[in-house]
Amino acid sequence: MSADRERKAAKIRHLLETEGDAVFENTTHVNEGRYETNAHRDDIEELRDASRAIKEDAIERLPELIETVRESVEANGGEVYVADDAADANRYITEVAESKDAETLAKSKSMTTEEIDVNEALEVAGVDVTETDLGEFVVQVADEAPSHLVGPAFHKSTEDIAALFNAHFDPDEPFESAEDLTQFARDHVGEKIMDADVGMTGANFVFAESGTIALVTNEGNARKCAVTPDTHVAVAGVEKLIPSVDEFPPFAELIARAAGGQDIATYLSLLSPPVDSPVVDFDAPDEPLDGSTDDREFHLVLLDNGRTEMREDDDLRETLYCIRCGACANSCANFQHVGGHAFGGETYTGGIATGWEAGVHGLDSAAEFNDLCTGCSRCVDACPVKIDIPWINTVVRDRVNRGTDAEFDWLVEGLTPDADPGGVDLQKRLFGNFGTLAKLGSATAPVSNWLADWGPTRAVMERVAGVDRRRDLPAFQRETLVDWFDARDPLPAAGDADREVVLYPDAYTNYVLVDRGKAAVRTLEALGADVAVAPCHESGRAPLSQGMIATARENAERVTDSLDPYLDAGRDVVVVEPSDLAAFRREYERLLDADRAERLAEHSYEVLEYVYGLLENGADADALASGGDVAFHSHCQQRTLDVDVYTEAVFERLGYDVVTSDVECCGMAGSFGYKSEYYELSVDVGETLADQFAAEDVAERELVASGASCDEQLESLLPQAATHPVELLAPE
Amino acid sequence: MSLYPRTHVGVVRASDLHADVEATAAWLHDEFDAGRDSAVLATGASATADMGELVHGVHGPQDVHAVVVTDR
Ligand code: SF4
Repeated sequence: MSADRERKAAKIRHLLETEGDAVFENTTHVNEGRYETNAHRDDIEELRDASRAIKEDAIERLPELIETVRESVEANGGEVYVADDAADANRYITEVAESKDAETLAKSKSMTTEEIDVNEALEVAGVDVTETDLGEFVVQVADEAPSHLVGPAFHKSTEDIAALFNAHFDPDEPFESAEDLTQFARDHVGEKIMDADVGMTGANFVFAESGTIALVTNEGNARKCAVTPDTHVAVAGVEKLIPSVDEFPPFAELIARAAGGQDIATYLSLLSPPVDSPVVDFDAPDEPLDGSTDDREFHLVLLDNGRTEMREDDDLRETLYCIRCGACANSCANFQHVGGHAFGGETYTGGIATGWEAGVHGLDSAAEFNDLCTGCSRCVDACPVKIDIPWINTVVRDRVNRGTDAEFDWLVEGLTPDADPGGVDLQKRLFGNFGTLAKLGSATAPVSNWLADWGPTRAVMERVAGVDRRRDLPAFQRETLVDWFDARDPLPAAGDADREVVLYPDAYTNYVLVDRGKAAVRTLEALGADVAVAPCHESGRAPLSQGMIATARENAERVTDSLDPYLDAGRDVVVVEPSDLAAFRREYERLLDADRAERLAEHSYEVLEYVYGLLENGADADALASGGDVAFHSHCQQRTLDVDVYTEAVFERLGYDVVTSDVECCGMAGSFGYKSEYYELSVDVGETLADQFAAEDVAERELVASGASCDEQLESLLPQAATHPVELLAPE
Repeated sequence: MSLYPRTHVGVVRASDLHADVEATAAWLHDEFDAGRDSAVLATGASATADMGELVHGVHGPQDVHAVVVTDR
């Protein structure tokens, strides 16, 4: 393994051991809450659409909203400062502190202030800063970086925190429970707030028209920091502006659901500072308050720091719609297992962090662990403002690729027939050209398989291309699906469903898992469909996952060219591999002309989705194999497209008893699990799934998985082999 | 100042209750139109899960009581 891969693998291994369990417990808890609270409402989709529309409009009108908020805050008696970058913001903030002769500052949690490292700037200016959010306080005491947007100390268990506090504060009675720790921290931090000369908060939203900041918390510390000291500084990214209180309700409904699985946060504080409650003198508790609020000062620091450029960038703009709920990280299987400290990033980590890091700190900061996004797309469903986070990751990966000088440029440039420039490293290029490799492997099978399995070959593959030796490689079949289909006599039609379809043979189905392709053909024919098989061309999924957008675009065009005649003839496209269906339905709109992409998306179906449709339309279910006990793992992208329900429905209709997995992803995710630096993480993620299927009363069941990768992952972790659902249903 | 004491007792008129966030939003709209510029929607005792499990009574109150006056 190369030194760089070894370093990454070692870092991941260390975090899996030290932080993985705490992160897994915390994210699992929050995710369960999110699924449950979302289930309480049937209008989540409408709320998400409304939130998205509000953000799109607000970012469009940003310059105008900044002017509006400047007027309204000034009219309220406060000041607005628009800071170009971190240094500008810190200079203004330290000047405010100095003008008040401030020695102490109490702060509520704000990732934006982490982004500018305001604590360091204030400390240099002689101001003692206390973090008052308890998670942030833990991280401050531990002198670590937050590992999560919402739960900065998500990577620590109660025992970890108890050990930290016992060592740091040396209490008379050692702390043990979460209760002990919370009470101690409450009192300790509470005093700091009462003593603070300046209070600093972030803002979850800023209402331009009234100059109001919305603070969403459960602890109540943000409002305490805002109103207890006489001087309040709020720091917010410019993207937090929305026009008025009228736009707030959908966010009030969604933010706590997405962030913590609560129907609503404990405190939604809408303040238009300077607030008009008098300042309390805690040293003179018996003095009556004189009602004067003249001493109060308020500064709203709106941070640009790259955001104006993000607004102009068609691919990164969406990032500005983010309300920083952290759901994308929580729904990410890799994040659940290894936590935010693995994802790199100067400030932000996991999920949407790539977009934020690329926008505010630059590509280098976004690059390090950007590969940890496997494109499984589960975050797309979790995001309350419907941001296409995997696409942002793909774009950043593409930009990173273009910016690197790979060692083997001279070697691969002439060899691999793709459209991406020389910066792409050999590992990415290898996996990004899987279709070409598979074709070659199949044409020369079984020799290619022997050669690929041969020890010295594996050693070279591992060293040069980072293909982990512990993984079995796909075994290429000499007879491809297309060859088989061309050489056979079609089955006589059994039903009267009267449909014409073209099966899209992805590279896996055509060259490796040929049986599932044969089963798909037989099943469709048994239900009365007339089946054609298209030529095999890579869909673009493989290069997309490596951030090779130009190659993916070329692939998408070739696939569409080859399917167009079938579509012209009125055939429906049936797809076996869910990740390719996801490419047709989700990514092609970014790669192709709108009408071409739309036509293909509209006429493409996952194979079991199509089977369901045929059965609903009168095809004869008796033509298929029925009954049995099944353990079914759907596929991450299939779940995001909401088509997994059809497989379950078909099984049910045919009398199967089905147990389904409830993990977000199998951990294999195409090429991810083959990469030597990520192999151990991939196995760790996969084991959660394998454990569910190894459980009592599940282990005996027939194992089925919709995706080729899921299939490989399950086979490597469980004694029994997995097949595609259509292989169970197909008539002999 | 409802954040400092350990117990918070809120007294509200039954006629001031709103059914849900949507109804509260309509009220907020009218209030902000009429010049109000702050409001706190508090839905329970303050809480944190930052120490590894859910604990009530962090910076805000540990016990919250709402007294609804119906006799008006
Ligand atoms: S991208 Fe979406 S899910 Fe992720 S933090 Fe932002 S709003 Fe939440």
